[in-house]
Amino acid sequence: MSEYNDYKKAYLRERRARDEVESLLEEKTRALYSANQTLERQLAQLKNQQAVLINNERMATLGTLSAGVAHELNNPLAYVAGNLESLNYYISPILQLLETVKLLEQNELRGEQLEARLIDIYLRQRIDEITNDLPDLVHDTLHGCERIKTIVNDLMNFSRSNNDSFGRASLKSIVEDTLRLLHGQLKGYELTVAVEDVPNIYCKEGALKQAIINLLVNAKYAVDMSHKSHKSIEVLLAPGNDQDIILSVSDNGIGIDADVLPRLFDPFFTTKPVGEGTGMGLAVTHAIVKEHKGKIDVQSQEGVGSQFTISFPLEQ
Amino acid sequence: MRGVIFRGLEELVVEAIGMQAWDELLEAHAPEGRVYVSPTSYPDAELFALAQGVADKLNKPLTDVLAIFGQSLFGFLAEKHKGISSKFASFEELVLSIDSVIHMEVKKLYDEPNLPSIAAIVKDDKTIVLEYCSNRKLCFCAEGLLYGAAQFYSRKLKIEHPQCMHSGAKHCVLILHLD
Repeated sequence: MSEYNDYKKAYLRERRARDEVESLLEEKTRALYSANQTLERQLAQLKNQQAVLINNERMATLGTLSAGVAHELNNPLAYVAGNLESLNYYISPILQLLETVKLLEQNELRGEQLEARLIDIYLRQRIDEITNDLPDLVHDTLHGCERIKTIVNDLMNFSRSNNDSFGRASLKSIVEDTLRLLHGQLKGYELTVAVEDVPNIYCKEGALKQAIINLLVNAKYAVDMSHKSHKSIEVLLAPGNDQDIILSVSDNGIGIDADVLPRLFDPFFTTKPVGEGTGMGLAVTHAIVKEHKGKIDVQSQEGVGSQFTISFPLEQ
Repeated sequence: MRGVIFRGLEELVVEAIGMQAWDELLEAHAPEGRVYVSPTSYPDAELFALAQGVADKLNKPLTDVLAIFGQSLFGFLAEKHKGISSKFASFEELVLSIDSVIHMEVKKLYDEPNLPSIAAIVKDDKTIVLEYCSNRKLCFCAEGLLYGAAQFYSRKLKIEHPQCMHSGAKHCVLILHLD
């Protein structure tokens, strides 16, 4: 009986040990769970802040784009306005001819009277010139309006928030739309564009346009700073290996200091003078690429130029 | 099944029929050298075999043993997790919080994918209708737990079990009649 009691005592001691260890473990697990909850909340908050930053950066980019877009709108507007002015001048002879036709139809004008009136209109109103000009004027005016419509649509597509949702889209179209948006700003630069057909990817169109604009605006800045006579920017889009798509933006600008490279994608880091640049462009670009499970890499040599390469995975 | 449930059974067996009986049950129905600890999961079959072993030893139907076990398990769990049991001022409050509070606390501690789903509706101030659904079909144990909870709050409880998963129903219906 004594041996049994000793055995039971040992068993109860072992059971208490298990209880104590379990209690300790549960306490730690609860603390871990609570810390995890806090981290999840902070992560959600960070994601929210990141979305706000990206949106702010997009608004800043819209500001940058506005000067170029205004210039882009001015060209078609100028010839639409010029053509309308000519058309306005041509209205009078056309109305006179129509009035003559009306008088003829009402038998109020016949024979010599009619002939004299027509000759008078013909001699005074340059009817040949009007006949030649009219189709081109209307055609060019319509073309100008279409161009304005495209520019405004591109700008609206860029700023529209519904582009912030993920969906299947063509990277080729995204790159082409973005280049059209920057068309005015990239005039005077030797722009090489080699955009191949690549499979559609699951992406946020607006965000990707934002990323590409940031790279192109930086390339333009780097080229301007180099004061080279030959200003070259190259945009390439092509299939990479079987699993990704490569997009690269290169320039022959000033290049990037090797010391600066490791901090290039840090938020609020900029090499631009005070008052220029938010320091968020490349940070936002990096965040956008990460959000698309892609990778961004930079190769640069001071005085020679830089190349930013983004690889997007095909299966996301 | 989580080790904490095995530990509850161990406690009951050792208290009721002795340490030797528990050892014999382990010898007969558990892998060699098995020691149950709360955070670890063990095969469900092991618990059922041990419970059946208890039923055989006591010469009682398994359902009766599960009911007794459930009743004892509530006291064991309430003692072990005083922080949780003290959150409920009444039996009714506890029953209505099984899914939203108690099972949530279990999930915080253990990665337990097979928790039963329990929906409780108050019919009147003396009747609660409870729907129990679990792939383990431990409704008799659930009944026992409810009796244990009633005892904990010094309430008299009678349970009707008009619909049962063991008879092919998708879920069990337990009607709780309080004094």
